[in-house]
Amino acid sequence: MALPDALAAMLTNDAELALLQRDPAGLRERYALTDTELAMLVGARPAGYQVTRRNVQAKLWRAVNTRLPVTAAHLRDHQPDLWDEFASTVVRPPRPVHEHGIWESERLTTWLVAQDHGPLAAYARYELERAKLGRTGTGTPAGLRPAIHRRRVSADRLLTLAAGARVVVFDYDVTAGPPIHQLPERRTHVALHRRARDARVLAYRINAATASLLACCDGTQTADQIIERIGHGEDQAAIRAALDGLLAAELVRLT
Amino acid sequence: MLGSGLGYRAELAEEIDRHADRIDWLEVITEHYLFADEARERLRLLARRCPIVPHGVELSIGSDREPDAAYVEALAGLVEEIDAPWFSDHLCFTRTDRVALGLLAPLPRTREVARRLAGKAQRVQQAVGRPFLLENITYYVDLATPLTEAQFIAEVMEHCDCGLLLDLANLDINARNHGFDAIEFLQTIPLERVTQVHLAGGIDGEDMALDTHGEAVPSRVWDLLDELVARTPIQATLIERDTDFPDDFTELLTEIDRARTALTARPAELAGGA
Repeated sequence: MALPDALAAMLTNDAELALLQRDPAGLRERYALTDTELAMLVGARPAGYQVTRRNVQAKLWRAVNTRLPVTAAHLRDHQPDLWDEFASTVVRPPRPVHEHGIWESERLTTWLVAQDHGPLAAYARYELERAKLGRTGTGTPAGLRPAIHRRRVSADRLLTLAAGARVVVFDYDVTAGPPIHQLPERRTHVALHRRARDARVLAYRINAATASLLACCDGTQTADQIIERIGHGEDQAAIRAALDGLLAAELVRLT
Repeated sequence: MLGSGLGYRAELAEEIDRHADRIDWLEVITEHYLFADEARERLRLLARRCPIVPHGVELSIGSDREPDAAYVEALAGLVEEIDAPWFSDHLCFTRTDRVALGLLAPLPRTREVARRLAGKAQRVQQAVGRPFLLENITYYVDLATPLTEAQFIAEVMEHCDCGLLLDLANLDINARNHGFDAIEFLQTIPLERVTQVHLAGGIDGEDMALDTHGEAVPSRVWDLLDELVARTPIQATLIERDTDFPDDFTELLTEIDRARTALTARPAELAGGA
Protein backbone atom coordinates (compact mmCIF):
# COMPACT_ATOMS: atom_id res chain seq x y z
CA MET A 1 0.00 0.00 0.00
CA ALA A 2 1.81 3.08 -1.26
CA LEU A 3 -0.62 5.76 -0.16
CA PRO A 4 0.41 5.87 3.51
CA ASP A 5 4.05 6.30 2.45
CA ALA A 6 3.12 9.24 0.25
CA LEU A 7 0.82 10.76 2.85
CA ALA A 8 3.43 10.40 5.60
CA ALA A 9 6.02 12.07 3.38
CA MET A 10 3.65 14.92 2.54
CA LEU A 11 2.84 15.49 6.19
CA THR A 12 6.51 15.69 7.18
CA ASN A 13 8.03 17.49 4.23
CA ASP A 14 6.79 20.73 2.70
CA ALA A 15 8.42 19.93 -0.64
CA GLU A 16 6.56 16.64 -0.93
CA LEU A 17 3.32 18.35 -0.01
CA ALA A 18 3.91 21.01 -2.67
CA LEU A 19 4.45 18.25 -5.18
CA LEU A 20 0.80 17.24 -4.86
CA GLN A 21 -0.25 20.56 -6.38
CA ARG A 22 2.71 21.20 -8.64
CA ASP A 23 3.44 17.77 -10.07
CA PRO A 24 0.97 15.04 -9.05
CA ALA A 25 2.34 12.73 -11.73
CA GLY A 26 5.77 13.06 -10.14
CA LEU A 27 4.28 12.20 -6.77
CA ARG A 28 2.58 9.15 -8.27
CA GLU A 29 5.84 7.97 -9.75
CA ARG A 30 7.90 8.59 -6.62
CA TYR A 31 5.59 6.54 -4.40
CA ALA A 32 4.34 4.07 -6.99
CA LEU A 33 0.79 5.24 -6.45
CA THR A 34 -2.07 3.83 -8.45
CA ASP A 35 -4.36 6.28 -10.22
CA THR A 36 -6.97 5.59 -7.56
CA GLU A 37 -4.57 6.33 -4.74
CA LEU A 38 -3.42 9.55 -6.37
CA ALA A 39 -7.05 10.58 -6.81
CA MET A 40 -7.62 9.99 -3.09
CA LEU A 41 -4.79 12.36 -2.22
CA VAL A 42 -5.68 15.00 -4.81
CA GLY A 43 -9.31 14.95 -3.72
CA ALA A 44 -8.56 15.99 -0.13
CA ARG A 45 -8.86 19.67 0.82
CA PRO A 46 -5.52 21.54 1.04
CA ALA A 47 -6.57 22.99 4.42
CA GLY A 48 -6.67 19.48 5.85
CA TYR A 49 -3.07 18.88 4.86
CA GLN A 50 -1.98 22.18 6.40
CA VAL A 51 -3.75 21.53 9.69
CA THR A 52 -2.31 18.02 9.91
CA ARG A 53 1.18 19.26 8.98
CA ARG A 54 0.98 21.71 11.90
CA ASN A 55 -0.20 18.90 14.16
CA VAL A 56 2.77 16.74 13.13
CA GLN A 57 5.08 19.57 14.14
CA ALA A 58 3.19 20.04 17.41
CA LYS A 59 3.67 16.34 18.16
CA LEU A 60 7.36 16.75 17.42
CA TRP A 61 7.52 19.56 19.98
CA ARG A 62 5.75 17.38 22.53
CA ALA A 63 8.22 14.56 21.91
CA VAL A 64 11.14 16.93 22.49
CA ASN A 65 9.35 18.37 25.52
CA THR A 66 9.35 14.96 27.23
CA ARG A 67 13.17 14.97 27.29
CA LEU A 68 14.21 18.62 26.97
CA PRO A 69 11.38 20.49 28.74
CA VAL A 70 13.27 23.72 29.42
CA THR A 71 14.76 23.88 25.93
CA ALA A 72 11.41 23.13 24.32
CA ALA A 73 9.61 25.77 26.40
CA HIS A 74 12.31 28.31 25.59
CA LEU A 75 11.94 27.69 21.87
CA ARG A 76 8.16 27.92 22.04
CA ASP A 77 8.08 31.07 24.15
CA HIS A 78 11.15 32.98 22.96
CA GLN A 79 12.34 31.64 19.61
CA PRO A 80 9.35 30.15 17.77
CA ASP A 81 10.86 30.94 14.37
CA LEU A 82 13.92 28.91 15.27
CA TRP A 83 11.69 26.02 16.30
CA ASP A 84 9.74 26.25 13.05
CA GLU A 85 12.98 26.21 11.09
CA PHE A 86 14.07 23.05 12.90
CA ALA A 87 10.69 21.35 12.74
CA SER A 88 10.37 21.92 9.02
CA THR A 89 13.49 19.84 8.42
CA VAL A 90 12.71 16.82 10.57
CA VAL A 91 11.31 13.51 9.44
CA ARG A 92 11.11 11.19 12.41
CA PRO A 93 12.04 7.55 11.93
CA PRO A 94 10.03 4.87 13.75
CA ARG A 95 11.54 4.24 17.19
CA PRO A 96 10.63 1.89 20.05
CA VAL A 97 8.02 3.28 22.42
CA HIS A 98 10.36 3.37 25.41
CA GLU A 99 12.73 5.67 23.50
CA HIS A 100 10.02 8.25 22.90
CA GLY A 101 11.52 11.68 22.37
CA ILE A 102 15.17 10.67 22.55
CA TRP A 103 15.88 10.63 18.81
CA GLU A 104 14.08 13.94 18.35
CA SER A 105 15.95 15.51 21.24
CA GLU A 106 19.29 14.30 19.94
CA ARG A 107 18.45 15.69 16.53
CA LEU A 108 17.47 19.08 17.94
CA THR A 109 20.56 19.26 20.13
CA THR A 110 22.88 18.39 17.27
CA TRP A 111 21.16 21.00 15.11
CA LEU A 112 21.44 23.72 17.76
CA VAL A 113 25.12 22.92 18.29
CA ALA A 114 25.80 22.98 14.56
CA GLN A 115 24.01 26.32 14.28
CA ASP A 116 26.13 27.65 17.15
CA HIS A 117 23.23 28.69 19.37
CA GLY A 118 25.52 29.18 22.39
CA PRO A 119 23.58 28.93 25.67
CA LEU A 120 20.55 27.27 24.08
CA ALA A 121 22.71 24.53 22.57
CA ALA A 122 24.54 24.12 25.87
CA TYR A 123 21.33 23.76 27.82
CA ALA A 124 19.90 21.33 25.28
CA ARG A 125 23.04 19.19 25.69
CA TYR A 126 22.67 19.40 29.47
CA GLU A 127 19.04 18.26 29.37
CA LEU A 128 19.79 15.56 26.84
CA GLU A 129 22.59 14.10 28.95
CA ARG A 130 20.26 14.07 31.94
CA ALA A 131 17.48 12.49 29.92
CA LYS A 132 19.76 9.73 28.73
CA LEU A 133 20.73 8.90 32.29
CA GLY A 134 17.18 8.67 33.50
CA ARG A 135 14.15 10.60 34.51
CA THR A 136 15.12 14.08 35.58
CA GLY A 137 14.46 15.05 39.18
CA THR A 138 13.04 18.50 39.74
CA GLY A 139 14.88 21.18 41.57
CA THR A 140 18.06 19.19 42.01
CA PRO A 141 20.66 21.65 43.23
CA ALA A 142 23.95 21.78 41.44
CA GLY A 143 27.14 21.58 43.44
CA LEU A 144 28.83 18.68 45.11
CA ARG A 145 26.75 17.52 48.03
CA PRO A 146 28.41 16.56 51.28
CA ALA A 147 29.27 12.92 51.55
CA ILE A 148 26.79 10.89 53.55
CA HIS A 149 29.06 7.99 54.36
CA ARG A 150 32.74 8.42 54.91
CA ARG A 151 34.46 5.84 52.75
CA ARG A 152 38.11 5.58 51.93
CA VAL A 153 39.79 4.52 48.74
CA SER A 154 41.76 1.35 48.89
CA ALA A 155 45.36 1.53 47.70
CA ASP A 156 45.28 -1.60 45.58
CA ARG A 157 41.88 -1.47 43.92
CA LEU A 158 41.04 0.15 40.61
CA LEU A 159 38.78 3.18 40.48
CA THR A 160 35.97 3.44 37.93
CA LEU A 161 33.39 6.11 37.20
CA ALA A 162 30.01 4.84 38.41
CA ALA A 163 27.82 3.27 35.75
CA GLY A 164 25.18 5.98 36.10
CA ALA A 165 27.65 8.87 36.08
CA ARG A 166 29.22 11.01 33.42
CA VAL A 167 31.14 14.25 33.23
CA VAL A 168 30.18 16.85 30.66
CA VAL A 169 31.84 20.18 29.84
CA PHE A 170 29.92 23.25 28.74
CA ASP A 171 30.93 26.73 27.61
CA TYR A 172 28.04 28.14 29.64
CA ASP A 173 27.15 27.54 33.25
CA VAL A 174 24.09 25.40 32.65
CA THR A 175 23.69 24.87 36.38
CA ALA A 176 22.74 28.54 36.72
CA GLY A 177 19.71 28.24 34.48
CA PRO A 178 17.03 28.67 33.43
CA PRO A 179 16.32 31.24 31.98
CA ILE A 180 18.52 30.02 29.19
CA HIS A 181 19.30 33.41 27.66
CA GLN A 182 20.83 34.54 30.97
CA LEU A 183 23.24 31.65 31.41
CA PRO A 184 26.72 33.01 32.29
CA GLU A 185 29.33 32.31 29.64
CA ARG A 186 32.00 30.36 31.50
CA ARG A 187 33.53 26.95 31.09
CA THR A 188 31.65 24.63 33.42
CA HIS A 189 32.24 21.01 34.29
CA VAL A 190 29.20 19.09 35.43
CA ALA A 191 29.06 15.59 36.86
CA LEU A 192 25.69 13.95 36.30
CA HIS A 193 24.78 10.97 38.37
CA ARG A 194 21.87 8.61 38.63
CA ARG A 195 22.16 6.17 41.49
CA ALA A 196 20.94 2.65 40.87
CA ARG A 197 17.94 2.88 43.15
CA ASP A 198 16.98 6.47 42.39
CA ALA A 199 15.13 7.67 39.28
CA ARG A 200 16.45 11.21 39.72
CA VAL A 201 19.56 12.50 38.05
CA LEU A 202 21.73 14.61 40.32
CA ALA A 203 23.86 17.38 38.87
CA TYR A 204 27.13 18.41 40.51
CA ARG A 205 29.03 21.46 39.35
CA ILE A 206 32.67 20.47 39.73
CA ASN A 207 35.93 22.24 39.11
CA ALA A 208 38.40 21.31 36.39
CA ALA A 209 40.68 19.51 38.86
CA THR A 210 37.86 17.24 40.00
CA ALA A 211 36.91 16.62 36.37
CA SER A 212 40.51 15.57 35.71
CA LEU A 213 40.38 13.29 38.71
CA LEU A 214 37.17 11.68 37.48
CA ALA A 215 38.67 11.24 34.02
CA CYS A 216 41.42 9.18 35.64
CA CYS A 217 38.84 6.84 37.15
CA ASP A 218 38.67 4.70 34.04
CA GLY A 219 39.10 1.27 35.60
CA THR A 220 42.82 1.06 34.86
CA GLN A 221 44.35 2.85 37.83
CA THR A 222 44.37 2.56 41.59
CA ALA A 223 44.08 5.59 43.83
CA ASP A 224 47.84 5.51 44.44
CA GLN A 225 48.54 5.46 40.72
CA ILE A 226 46.16 8.36 40.12
CA ILE A 227 47.72 10.37 42.93
CA GLU A 228 51.18 9.57 41.61
CA ARG A 229 50.17 10.60 38.10
CA ILE A 230 48.50 13.93 38.80
CA GLY A 231 49.97 14.81 42.18
CA HIS A 232 52.89 16.86 40.88
CA GLY A 233 53.81 18.25 44.23
CA GLU A 234 50.25 19.03 45.08
CA ASP A 235 49.01 18.04 48.43
CA GLN A 236 48.61 14.32 47.92
CA ALA A 237 46.50 14.07 51.04
CA ALA A 238 44.05 16.54 49.50
CA ILE A 239 43.78 14.46 46.34
CA ARG A 240 43.23 11.33 48.35
CA ALA A 241 40.55 13.13 50.36
CA ALA A 242 38.89 14.24 47.11
CA LEU A 243 38.86 10.65 45.87
CA ASP A 244 37.37 9.58 49.19
CA GLY A 245 34.65 12.19 48.69
CA LEU A 246 33.88 11.00 45.18
CA LEU A 247 33.70 7.45 46.44
CA ALA A 248 31.38 8.45 49.25
CA ALA A 249 29.16 10.31 46.79
CA GLU A 250 29.10 7.09 44.74
CA LEU A 251 30.36 8.92 41.68
CA VAL A 252 33.23 6.43 41.53
CA ARG A 253 33.43 2.85 42.63
CA LEU A 254 36.12 0.35 43.47
CA THR A 255 36.60 -2.59 41.12
CA MET B 1 -21.51 -1.30 33.32
CA LEU B 2 -18.20 0.42 34.01
CA GLY B 3 -19.85 3.82 34.37
CA SER B 4 -18.53 7.34 33.94
CA GLY B 5 -14.77 7.83 33.93
CA LEU B 6 -11.99 10.31 33.37
CA GLY B 7 -8.74 10.24 31.43
CA TYR B 8 -5.92 9.98 33.97
CA ARG B 9 -3.32 12.70 33.46
CA ALA B 10 -0.45 13.68 35.75
CA GLU B 11 -1.82 17.22 35.98
CA LEU B 12 -5.08 15.88 37.37
CA ALA B 13 -3.68 13.17 39.66
CA GLU B 14 -4.13 15.01 42.95
CA GLU B 15 -7.73 15.99 42.24
CA ILE B 16 -8.52 12.49 41.01
CA ASP B 17 -7.23 11.12 44.32
CA ARG B 18 -9.28 13.65 46.24
CA HIS B 19 -12.49 12.90 44.37
CA ALA B 20 -12.05 9.19 43.73
CA ASP B 21 -15.58 8.48 44.96
CA ARG B 22 -17.04 10.50 42.07
CA ILE B 23 -15.09 8.83 39.27
CA ASP B 24 -16.15 5.30 38.33
CA TRP B 25 -13.08 4.34 36.35
CA LEU B 26 -9.92 5.74 34.77
CA GLU B 27 -8.37 5.48 31.35
CA VAL B 28 -4.58 5.74 31.06
CA ILE B 29 -2.35 6.21 28.04
CA THR B 30 -0.86 2.79 27.39
CA GLU B 31 2.53 4.02 26.28
CA HIS B 32 3.08 5.94 29.51
CA TYR B 33 3.18 2.65 31.41
CA LEU B 34 4.25 -0.04 28.96
CA PHE B 35 7.97 0.01 29.71
CA ALA B 36 8.11 2.31 32.74
CA ASP B 37 8.73 0.43 35.97
CA GLU B 38 8.19 3.31 38.36
CA ALA B 39 5.02 4.52 36.67
CA ARG B 40 3.83 0.94 36.51
CA GLU B 41 4.06 0.62 40.28
CA ARG B 42 1.86 3.71 40.68
CA LEU B 43 -0.59 2.24 38.20
CA ARG B 44 -0.84 -1.00 40.16
CA LEU B 45 -1.78 1.00 43.24
CA LEU B 46 -4.34 2.94 41.25
CA ALA B 47 -5.84 -0.26 39.87
CA ARG B 48 -6.60 -1.44 43.40
CA ARG B 49 -8.95 1.51 43.80
CA CYS B 50 -10.91 1.49 40.54
CA PRO B 51 -11.04 -0.14 37.10
CA ILE B 52 -8.31 1.03 34.74
CA VAL B 53 -8.40 0.80 30.95
CA PRO B 54 -5.23 1.24 28.86
CA HIS B 55 -5.76 3.41 25.80
CA GLY B 56 -2.99 3.27 23.21
CA VAL B 57 -1.81 5.78 20.64
CA GLU B 58 1.11 3.93 19.03
CA LEU B 59 -0.10 0.49 18.05
CA SER B 60 -0.57 1.74 14.48
CA ILE B 61 -2.97 -1.04 13.63
CA GLY B 62 -3.45 0.48 10.16
CA SER B 63 0.21 0.18 9.17
CA ASP B 64 1.09 -2.33 6.50
CA ARG B 65 3.13 -4.40 8.91
CA GLU B 66 1.80 -6.50 11.72
CA PRO B 67 1.94 -4.64 15.06
CA ASP B 68 5.27 -4.86 16.85
CA ALA B 69 5.37 -8.16 18.71
CA ALA B 70 7.27 -6.74 21.67
CA TYR B 71 4.67 -3.99 22.02
CA VAL B 72 1.78 -6.45 21.93
CA GLU B 73 3.47 -8.74 24.45
CA ALA B 74 4.07 -5.83 26.80
CA LEU B 75 0.49 -4.68 26.30
CA ALA B 76 -0.80 -8.13 27.23
CA GLY B 77 1.30 -7.99 30.40
CA LEU B 78 -0.04 -4.57 31.30
CA VAL B 79 -3.66 -5.55 30.70
CA GLU B 80 -3.31 -8.65 32.82
CA GLU B 81 -1.45 -6.87 35.59
CA ILE B 82 -4.15 -4.27 36.11
CA ASP B 83 -6.95 -6.67 35.19
CA ALA B 84 -8.31 -4.25 32.60
CA PRO B 85 -11.79 -5.09 31.31
CA TRP B 86 -10.66 -4.12 27.81
CA PHE B 87 -8.01 -2.09 26.00
CA SER B 88 -8.25 0.33 23.10
CA ASP B 89 -6.39 2.04 20.30
CA HIS B 90 -7.22 3.92 17.11
CA LEU B 91 -8.38 3.17 13.58
CA CYS B 92 -5.41 4.81 11.93
CA PHE B 93 -1.73 4.54 11.17
CA THR B 94 0.92 6.47 13.07
CA ARG B 95 3.96 5.32 11.14
CA THR B 96 5.22 3.70 7.99
CA ASP B 97 8.44 1.72 7.63
CA ARG B 98 10.37 4.97 7.26
CA VAL B 99 8.38 7.71 8.94
CA ALA B 100 6.94 8.10 12.43
CA LEU B 101 4.23 10.75 12.24
CA GLY B 102 3.55 10.81 15.95
CA LEU B 103 -0.11 11.43 15.23
CA LEU B 104 -3.17 9.45 14.26
CA ALA B 105 -3.30 9.57 10.46
CA PRO B 106 -6.29 8.58 8.34
CA LEU B 107 -6.30 5.41 6.30
CA PRO B 108 -7.42 5.00 2.71
CA ARG B 109 -10.96 3.83 3.34
CA THR B 110 -11.22 0.80 1.07
CA ARG B 111 -12.69 -2.62 1.73
CA GLU B 112 -9.27 -4.20 1.28
CA VAL B 113 -7.68 -1.96 3.93
CA ALA B 114 -10.63 -2.49 6.29
CA ARG B 115 -10.39 -6.27 6.03
CA ARG B 116 -6.64 -6.33 6.48
CA LEU B 117 -6.92 -4.07 9.52
CA ALA B 118 -9.68 -6.25 10.97
CA GLY B 119 -7.47 -9.31 10.69
CA LYS B 120 -4.63 -7.59 12.52
CA ALA B 121 -6.96 -6.28 15.22
CA GLN B 122 -8.38 -9.75 15.71
CA ARG B 123 -4.89 -11.18 16.16
CA VAL B 124 -3.96 -8.45 18.65
CA GLN B 125 -7.14 -9.12 20.62
CA GLN B 126 -6.35 -12.81 20.69
CA ALA B 127 -2.76 -12.20 21.79
CA VAL B 128 -3.76 -9.82 24.57
CA GLY B 129 -6.67 -11.94 25.72
CA ARG B 130 -9.15 -9.14 26.45
CA PRO B 131 -11.63 -7.23 24.26
CA PHE B 132 -9.94 -4.77 21.93
CA LEU B 133 -11.87 -1.57 21.21
CA LEU B 134 -11.08 0.42 18.08
CA GLU B 135 -11.64 4.17 18.13
CA ASN B 136 -12.66 6.53 15.34
CA ILE B 137 -10.11 9.35 14.97
CA THR B 138 -10.36 13.02 14.14
CA TYR B 139 -8.95 13.48 10.65
CA TYR B 140 -8.35 16.69 8.79
CA VAL B 141 -7.12 15.15 5.54
CA ASP B 142 -10.30 13.68 4.11
CA LEU B 143 -9.02 11.32 1.44
CA ALA B 144 -11.37 10.92 -1.51
CA THR B 145 -12.00 7.27 -0.74
CA PRO B 146 -14.62 4.83 -1.99
CA LEU B 147 -16.05 4.29 1.51
CA THR B 148 -17.32 6.86 3.94
CA GLU B 149 -15.81 6.71 7.41
CA ALA B 150 -18.92 5.02 8.78
CA GLN B 151 -18.91 2.44 5.98
CA PHE B 152 -15.22 1.79 6.60
CA ILE B 153 -15.83 1.21 10.31
CA ALA B 154 -18.74 -1.07 9.52
CA GLU B 155 -16.52 -3.05 7.16
CA VAL B 156 -13.84 -3.42 9.83
CA MET B 157 -16.40 -4.60 12.36
CA GLU B 158 -17.82 -7.05 9.84
CA HIS B 159 -14.47 -8.85 9.71
CA CYS B 160 -13.45 -9.00 13.37
CA ASP B 161 -15.17 -9.29 16.70
CA CYS B 162 -13.45 -6.34 18.33
CA GLY B 163 -15.54 -3.62 19.91
CA LEU B 164 -15.89 0.07 19.15
CA LEU B 165 -14.78 3.03 21.18
CA LEU B 166 -16.89 5.77 19.70
CA ASP B 167 -15.39 9.21 20.18
CA LEU B 168 -18.38 11.51 19.87
CA ALA B 169 -16.23 14.63 19.84
CA ASN B 170 -14.29 13.23 16.89
CA LEU B 171 -17.55 12.37 15.19
CA ASP B 172 -18.88 15.88 15.73
CA ILE B 173 -15.68 17.53 14.47
CA ASN B 174 -15.37 15.28 11.43
CA ALA B 175 -19.03 15.80 10.53
CA ARG B 176 -18.60 19.57 10.67
CA ASN B 177 -15.25 19.63 8.86
CA HIS B 178 -16.19 17.22 6.12
CA GLY B 179 -19.86 17.95 5.76
CA PHE B 180 -21.58 14.72 6.67
CA ASP B 181 -24.49 13.96 8.96
CA ALA B 182 -23.48 12.60 12.37
CA ILE B 183 -26.84 10.88 12.83
CA GLU B 184 -26.47 9.11 9.50
CA PHE B 185 -23.04 8.01 10.72
CA LEU B 186 -24.67 6.47 13.81
CA GLN B 187 -27.20 4.72 11.57
CA THR B 188 -24.42 3.17 9.48
CA ILE B 189 -22.02 1.76 12.05
CA PRO B 190 -22.95 -1.37 14.05
CA LEU B 191 -23.99 0.42 17.24
CA GLU B 192 -24.31 -2.85 19.14
CA ARG B 193 -20.50 -3.05 19.02
CA VAL B 194 -20.02 0.29 20.80
CA THR B 195 -18.72 -0.48 24.28
CA GLN B 196 -17.27 2.85 25.29
CA VAL B 197 -17.62 6.51 24.41
CA HIS B 198 -15.13 9.39 24.51
CA LEU B 199 -16.36 12.92 25.24
CA ALA B 200 -14.22 16.03 24.82
CA GLY B 201 -14.23 19.60 23.63
CA GLY B 202 -12.34 21.34 20.84
CA ILE B 203 -12.14 24.74 19.22
CA ASP B 204 -13.07 26.29 15.92
CA GLY B 205 -9.86 27.06 14.04
CA GLU B 206 -9.36 29.36 11.09
CA ASP B 207 -10.08 26.67 8.51
CA MET B 208 -11.48 23.77 10.46
CA ALA B 209 -12.84 22.67 13.81
CA LEU B 210 -9.95 21.32 15.89
CA ASP B 211 -9.85 18.47 18.37
CA THR B 212 -7.88 19.94 21.28
CA HIS B 213 -9.23 18.14 24.35
CA GLY B 214 -8.86 21.53 25.98
CA GLU B 215 -12.45 22.73 26.33
CA ALA B 216 -15.65 21.69 28.02
CA VAL B 217 -17.73 19.09 26.20
CA PRO B 218 -20.01 21.11 23.88
CA SER B 219 -23.76 20.70 23.74
CA ARG B 220 -23.57 19.13 20.27
CA VAL B 221 -21.52 16.26 21.71
CA TRP B 222 -23.87 15.82 24.67
CA ASP B 223 -26.74 15.64 22.18
CA LEU B 224 -24.92 12.91 20.29
CA LEU B 225 -24.48 10.99 23.54
CA ASP B 226 -28.21 11.21 24.16
CA GLU B 227 -28.85 10.00 20.60
CA LEU B 228 -26.47 7.11 21.08
CA VAL B 229 -27.77 5.86 24.41
CA ALA B 230 -31.31 6.09 23.06
CA ARG B 231 -30.30 3.58 20.39
CA THR B 232 -27.96 1.16 22.15
CA PRO B 233 -26.71 0.23 25.61
CA ILE B 234 -23.12 1.25 26.23
CA GLN B 235 -20.92 0.29 29.12
CA ALA B 236 -18.76 3.30 29.72
CA THR B 237 -18.24 6.98 29.02
CA LEU B 238 -15.02 8.89 29.45
CA ILE B 239 -14.24 12.59 29.73
CA GLU B 240 -10.96 13.43 27.98
CA ARG B 241 -9.00 16.54 28.94
CA ASP B 242 -5.38 16.97 27.87
CA THR B 243 -4.77 20.73 27.83
CA ASP B 244 -6.09 23.88 29.48
CA PHE B 245 -7.07 22.00 32.60
CA PRO B 246 -9.76 23.90 34.49
CA ASP B 247 -8.71 25.64 37.71
CA ASP B 248 -11.81 24.24 39.30
CA PHE B 249 -11.87 20.44 39.10
CA THR B 250 -15.61 20.58 39.79
CA GLU B 251 -16.06 21.41 36.10
CA LEU B 252 -14.77 17.96 35.16
CA LEU B 253 -16.71 16.28 37.95
CA THR B 254 -19.87 17.92 36.67
CA GLU B 255 -19.19 16.52 33.20
CA ILE B 256 -18.55 13.06 34.68
CA ASP B 257 -21.86 13.29 36.55
CA ARG B 258 -23.68 14.42 33.44
CA ALA B 259 -22.30 11.51 31.41
CA ARG B 260 -23.33 9.08 34.16
CA THR B 261 -26.83 10.50 34.15
CA ALA B 262 -27.02 10.08 30.37
CA LEU B 263 -25.81 6.49 30.65
CA THR B 264 -28.39 5.56 33.23
CA ALA B 265 -31.21 7.44 31.54
CA ARG B 266 -31.36 5.10 28.59
CA PRO B 267 -34.75 3.75 27.56
CA ALA B 268 -36.17 0.88 29.59
CA GLU B 269 -36.07 -1.50 26.64
CA LEU B 270 -32.29 -1.01 26.43
CA ALA B 271 -31.49 -0.80 30.10
CA GLY B 272 -30.75 -4.46 30.67
CA GLY B 273 -28.74 -4.98 27.54
CA ALA B 274 -25.17 -4.32 28.63
